[in-house]
Amino acid sequence: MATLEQLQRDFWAAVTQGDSALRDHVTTTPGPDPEDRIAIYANAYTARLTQALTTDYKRLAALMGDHLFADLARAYMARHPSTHPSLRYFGRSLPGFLERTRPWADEPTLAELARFEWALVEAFDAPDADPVTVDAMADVPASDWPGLTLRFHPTMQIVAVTYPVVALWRALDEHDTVEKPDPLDHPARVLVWRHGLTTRFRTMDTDEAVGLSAMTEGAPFAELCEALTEWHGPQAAARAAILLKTWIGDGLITAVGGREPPC
Amino acid sequence: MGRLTNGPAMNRQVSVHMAPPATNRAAERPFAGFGLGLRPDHFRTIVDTRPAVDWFEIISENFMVAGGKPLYYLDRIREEYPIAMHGVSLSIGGSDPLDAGYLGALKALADRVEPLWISDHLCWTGHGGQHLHDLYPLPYTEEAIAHVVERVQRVQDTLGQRILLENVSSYLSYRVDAMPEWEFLRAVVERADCLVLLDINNIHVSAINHGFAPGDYLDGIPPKRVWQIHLAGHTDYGDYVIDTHDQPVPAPVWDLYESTIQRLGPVSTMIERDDNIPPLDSLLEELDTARTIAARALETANGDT
Repeated sequence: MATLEQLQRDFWAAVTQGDSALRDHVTTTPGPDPEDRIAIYANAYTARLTQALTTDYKRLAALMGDHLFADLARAYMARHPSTHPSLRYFGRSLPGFLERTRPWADEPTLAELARFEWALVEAFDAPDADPVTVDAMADVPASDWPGLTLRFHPTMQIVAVTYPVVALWRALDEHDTVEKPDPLDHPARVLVWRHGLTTRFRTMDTDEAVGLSAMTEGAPFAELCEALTEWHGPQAAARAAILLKTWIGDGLITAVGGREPPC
Repeated sequence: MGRLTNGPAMNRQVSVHMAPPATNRAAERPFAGFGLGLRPDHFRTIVDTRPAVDWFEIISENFMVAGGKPLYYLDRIREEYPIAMHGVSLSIGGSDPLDAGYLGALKALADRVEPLWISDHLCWTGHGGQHLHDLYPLPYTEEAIAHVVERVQRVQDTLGQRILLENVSSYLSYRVDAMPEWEFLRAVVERADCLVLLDINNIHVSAINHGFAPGDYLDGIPPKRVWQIHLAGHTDYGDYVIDTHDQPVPAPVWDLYESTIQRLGPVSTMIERDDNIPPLDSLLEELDTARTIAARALETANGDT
């Protein structure tokens, strides 16, 4: 007699791999054949996981079309089955899968769009944190500014792109079909974060991307100014002040500190 | 509807001391009224309009997140309404070990929500570390009963309260089955001293798919352990029916609900809609239908409530 464990293993194999061993465990009763009854579960498995990916990667699915996206979903679930109790995390490995796996790896737009969409998923329910206001900066004595360090919002992510991913995402939001874009002249970085309950994003200018990356690694304000001289020469300090004000206005900064990054 | 308090750890040993007279603790079924499944589509409307819903049920896994909208609205809505927690990934009948991380997250969410009660399904949902995210039927055997009972007791010890287990809809049955589903359900909940979330739609769906009489099911369940009822819709594919939760509650499910309430007396009832989600107003109308049918059922019941 089949044990519980054997039966579940055979059921799992039927649902995920189309294995036929479950057939011998299933009663023949009036109505659908055992094969058809098993197929209800197998079809539901594929449909449910594909649906989860379609929800998280809506624009990627629109770009690829239902048929090709379904092929991708089947390949992905075979390689990266769900290992988390919530379907929310099932799609987490898709950007990397697209980067590594042909034929999708031959079209880098797909992985880049996926990475951007997953950043939006992550920003949606990442931890809350209260941003500082401009008033908080008024208390900082002038002598402390060079050593000023920043802590950034836990939802903040920086996505590197070589294609105009944000424009593509917006186009897919507005149109049913979109031409695949040409690469950007220069690689760019897209900032994704949540401001209050609203998920926001924008493509950064190169100087901001470099400056923000430095500050997230704990560099003091003086180093930000220094980094910005490449683009702004003697105006670097003024540009640094503008960036800082922008970041505060965007709700990106949750604490300011001295030489050691605030924690 | 006032808040209901959860009892302390309710394993048999404790209940002997906690229950004032020597009555079965399961007799103390609370009645929370008529609720709805809480879905993100309705978050704003609920906060803005405070609809006449007695309580909401959340899908626990959807709120096991760090922050953002889900927890913001959960806290706001919890300020105004009682909330029941309904999980889909406990896999109480699974042969993988119970997931301590998952149970910890469930406990943490329960501490935040202080729910009416916590429920999951009498089924298994994964194997070999993989989550299949579906509710698979168990074989109705003594082996499975013993397996589930032991796990329910450990879950109840961890959570410090009894849980409700829901009957699932199923599309196949096993050769090893040694009893009907309702006998299996009854044996599990009585031996584990847990409670029942009775899904009327699932009884209807499984009755068609397996060819049993829904009345036999209702006669076979332990009435006083049924603390909650689910109502939902399904899709008819001709020679079988699938539990899709994407349609209004259909006439046969209303009929079965009426005879359930006649047998059981007042049971907290909610409508579960997971797909093709309509505006809140249309669910409120359906909930009024549930109120009307329940009231009629109680009038015509044999006075044994």
